[in-house]
This record gives sequence, structure tokens and C-alpha cells, in this order.
Amino acid sequence: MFCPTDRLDRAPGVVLRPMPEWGLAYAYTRARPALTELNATTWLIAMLCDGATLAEIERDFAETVRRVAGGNVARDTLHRGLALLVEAGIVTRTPGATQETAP
Amino acid sequence: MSRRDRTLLFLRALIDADGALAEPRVEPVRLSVRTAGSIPPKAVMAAAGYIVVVWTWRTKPGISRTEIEEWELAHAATFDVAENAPQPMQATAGGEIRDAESGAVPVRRKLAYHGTVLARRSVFAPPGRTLQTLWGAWGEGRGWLEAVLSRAPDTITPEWLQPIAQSVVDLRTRLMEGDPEVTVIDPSLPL
Repeated sequence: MFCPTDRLDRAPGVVLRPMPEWGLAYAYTRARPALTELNATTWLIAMLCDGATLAEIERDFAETVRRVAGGNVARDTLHRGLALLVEAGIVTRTPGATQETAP
Repeated sequence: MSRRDRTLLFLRALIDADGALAEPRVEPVRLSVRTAGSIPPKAVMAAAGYIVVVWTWRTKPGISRTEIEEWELAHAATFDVAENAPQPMQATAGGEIRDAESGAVPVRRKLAYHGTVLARRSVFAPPGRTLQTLWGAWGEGRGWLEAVLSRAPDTITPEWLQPIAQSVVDLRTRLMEGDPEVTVIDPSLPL
């Protein structure tokens, strides 16, 4: 489960290699090591993970896919894609600071 | 416009053209490493910690094939030094490697150069005149290779690597434009 203030970034040493002719990208994770194929959706999500917060990524992802998916569909798809990318070691999550609420 | 912005525009157009947002998918790739020619069998490469790096470059307008070939000859000569002489390969653990079929111990330079390929179109690059340069390294050569491809020549040790790195810089500044696309073929990946 991700929080809006979480920051998401490509893991150190990951090489993201676009293959535009094939509409996909390859990610090389040196730490594992492994080569992983990303379809256009996960490629887009990986591109947006450049240290931005989840809230920022949600906004940019929804904007990019707005012609083919509504807000809720986009958000659910994004979260499923993020989970896959984190599990594959392509994206890392840094928990955001929790806001203290005054008593 | 940045490369990131161009990529996002491309992805937006690609997804729009599909007319639907595809379910996210990540799939592990099973690599097939060519073992023909000068490259030893994959099991030997993996045991020695061998790695191959392919850089795909776009040539500057007006650069001829002759100029590329002249650079290639000079570049290959920089590898031909006593410190980089062919030697029996050892596994990363230090043990001797023997070919499973012949029983022979393969002999390699620790830093090797495999040549260039000129093409008008490559599966690894957008259409246009491109040049692929291949480097291979094993054992401690892996660290050398990384230094040659990423650091300023005069900062690299051992010193015999510096002409090799300088040759790469010359290629980049005199003959090529933009940044190369990089493919790493690591035979230690599971097949």
C-alpha cells in the first residue's frame, strides 16, 4: 500500500532502455541482476518515478492517459503497476513524512 | 524539450493509439547470448564474471564509413599492449576454467574489443546511421571496462587504460552525436 507522500524513484543502477519500435522498454536491474520487459503502461509508470511523490505521479499519470481511462481506473492501474515495479526491484519507495495532527 | 518529455509524449501517443490503457505488465527476459566467433561459451563467460557492453551511437552528419573504420583500427591497437596480453581465464573464485567439451583453458584479454557494425537501421536504435561498438571484460576487467566507458581518461588507473578511454572520448566528440544507447549483456543472468 502506498501513501500520497511516498517518494518513488528508479532503483540505483537500474538502466531503463526504451524500445519505441516495439512499444515497450527493458529494465536492467544490476543489483539482482535481471532484465525485465515493461509494456507501455509500466514503462510510463517507471518514467514518472523520478523521485516524485505518489500524489504527483498520480496526477501526471492521470493526465497522460486521460483520453483512454477515467480518474479511478487510472489510479487503480497506476497502483498495480507500481506494486509490480517495486517487486521487480526497478522502483524503490521512500516512505513520506507523516504529518503530526494537533491534539 | 528534454528526453523525458519526449518519451512521455511518445507514450501518450502510443497509449492513445491503442485506444485503451493496458494492464500493467512486467516480464523477466531470458537472454540468449551468442557464443559464436571470438566469444567463448556462456558457461565459461559466466564463471569468469564476463560482461559485454554494446553501445549504439548515431554518427554525426557527413561522417563517412572510412573515417569510422580508421578510428576502429586505431582503437583496436590501443588494446594491444603487454598489460592486456591474452591469458588463461580464471573463475571469479580464482579457480581454473576448463571448457566442458574440449577440456582446454580458454585464453582471453581481460579487456577485449569486439569490433563495430555500421548500419542504417538497428533494432537497438531509431532509424538513421548508427554504429554499434562492443566491449567485453572478465574478472577485474569488469571494473576497468566501467572506468573506460564512464570516467575522464586521465583519472583512470592502471595507466595503460588511458589511451583506450581517450580513444572512446575521441569517438564520442569527433564522430558521434548525442548519448549512446547502452545494452549490457551479463552472462551471469539466468537463461
